[in-house]
Amino acid sequence: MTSVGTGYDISSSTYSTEGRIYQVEYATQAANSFGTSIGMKVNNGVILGSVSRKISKLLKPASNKCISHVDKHIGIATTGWTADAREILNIARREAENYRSSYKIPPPTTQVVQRLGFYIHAHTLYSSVRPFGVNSIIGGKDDNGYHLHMIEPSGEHWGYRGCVVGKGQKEVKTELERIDLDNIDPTLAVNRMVKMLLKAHRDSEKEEPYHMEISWVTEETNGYHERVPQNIIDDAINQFENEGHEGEGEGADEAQETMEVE
Amino acid sequence: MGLKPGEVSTGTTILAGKFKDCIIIGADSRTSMGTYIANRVTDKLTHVVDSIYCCRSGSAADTQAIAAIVKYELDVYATSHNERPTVKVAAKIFKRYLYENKSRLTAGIIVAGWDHQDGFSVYNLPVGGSIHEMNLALGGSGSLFIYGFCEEMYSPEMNREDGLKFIRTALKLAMSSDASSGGMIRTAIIDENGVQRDDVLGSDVKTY
Repeated sequence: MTSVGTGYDISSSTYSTEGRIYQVEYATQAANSFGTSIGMKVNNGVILGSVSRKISKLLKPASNKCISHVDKHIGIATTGWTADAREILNIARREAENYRSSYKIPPPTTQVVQRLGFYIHAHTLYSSVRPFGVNSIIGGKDDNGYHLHMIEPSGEHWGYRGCVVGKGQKEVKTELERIDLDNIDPTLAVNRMVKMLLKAHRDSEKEEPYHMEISWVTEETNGYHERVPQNIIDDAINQFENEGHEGEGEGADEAQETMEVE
Repeated sequence: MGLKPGEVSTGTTILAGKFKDCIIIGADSRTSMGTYIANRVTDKLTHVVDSIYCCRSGSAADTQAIAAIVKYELDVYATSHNERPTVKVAAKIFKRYLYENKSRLTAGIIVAGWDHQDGFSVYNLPVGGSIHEMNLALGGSGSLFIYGFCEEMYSPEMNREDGLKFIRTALKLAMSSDASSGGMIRTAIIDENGVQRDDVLGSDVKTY
């Protein structure tokens, strides 16, 4: 970063001489240095997942959620600064509510994403505000089917079949690309997601205690955004732990095969 | 609040019905100011967007203004969603205006048409701002005289010829009994391929 220290990196309202906006890049780095979040659009469903290091053993269980409802049929998973994420969540809910009062129908996912992206982008235009240090993965269902989007701190947003942000980004992305997302069933996809999240956590945080959340919008949930039942998650965790131990010894090939259950 | 003294009113008969493979909407063409007929060839079947129409009754000024505002909102909807609005969304926008301004408006509107999602729909929005999805919606002062006829004769299974005949007969009956309905009979047949408008001249409308 040749421009660091030249003064071009202190305001998001000024480009560096290379045409970069350092404040936005710093925000992206901040957002990516927390946990790992994954989104998967699969056959008849969309799944959001998130893992992060437990901040403190004294913290009440489930007190710092990073997956929330935006509307009945839309969920959001955030990674980054918790306070920034709360603000984004509030805006997302406000926009969904506004849409409902304008058109009296449930807001399409893309509309909420567009409005939220607009808001986040606005925070990269002025020197008086700081860009959001948050990546948001948004999944939902509407009349046009299931949708998965990710909004970056720059306000940029794309629709995805599978997406990942955070510490384990690189490894999870390669694994996501190997999954046949269009044909995998939600329950199996949750299984895969739990394993990817756990692996991402172990790679960066070793044996630190973690906090994991998974939610989905599927046919079984009647198109509503709901948390995945804990027993499905626990099963996957147990499977992962067993496979992990086998991986050390002679069972390595077998473990590899059970992962390829597409 | 009702109409102001001298306010132009579409003292009216409007009708919209769902039939086997189409929607038919119809209206008379009289616009009156008290006993004076301000316009005898009014078009109360107003195009909103795509294959969505509304039938206006009540104050001419109020209904024209609302139809224009809703048309604008739906144009914005179409561009921002990159998708055509549904009849349902159109009706609910109308309803929002009617309900939120109920103390100031005299407007009874029927929204009807075809869309890619729900197919054919008819929504009745009477004065006050309620919304009712119906197979056959009647509105305006003249409708009071033809409820019996419509309940007896209407069936959603009618084909388009019978449907058109039914709508025209109903309007004819209303126009002959209601002092503020009259003139010509305007109709529009809406289906997935588009809209076909027709009218019967006042001189050809049989009166009793």
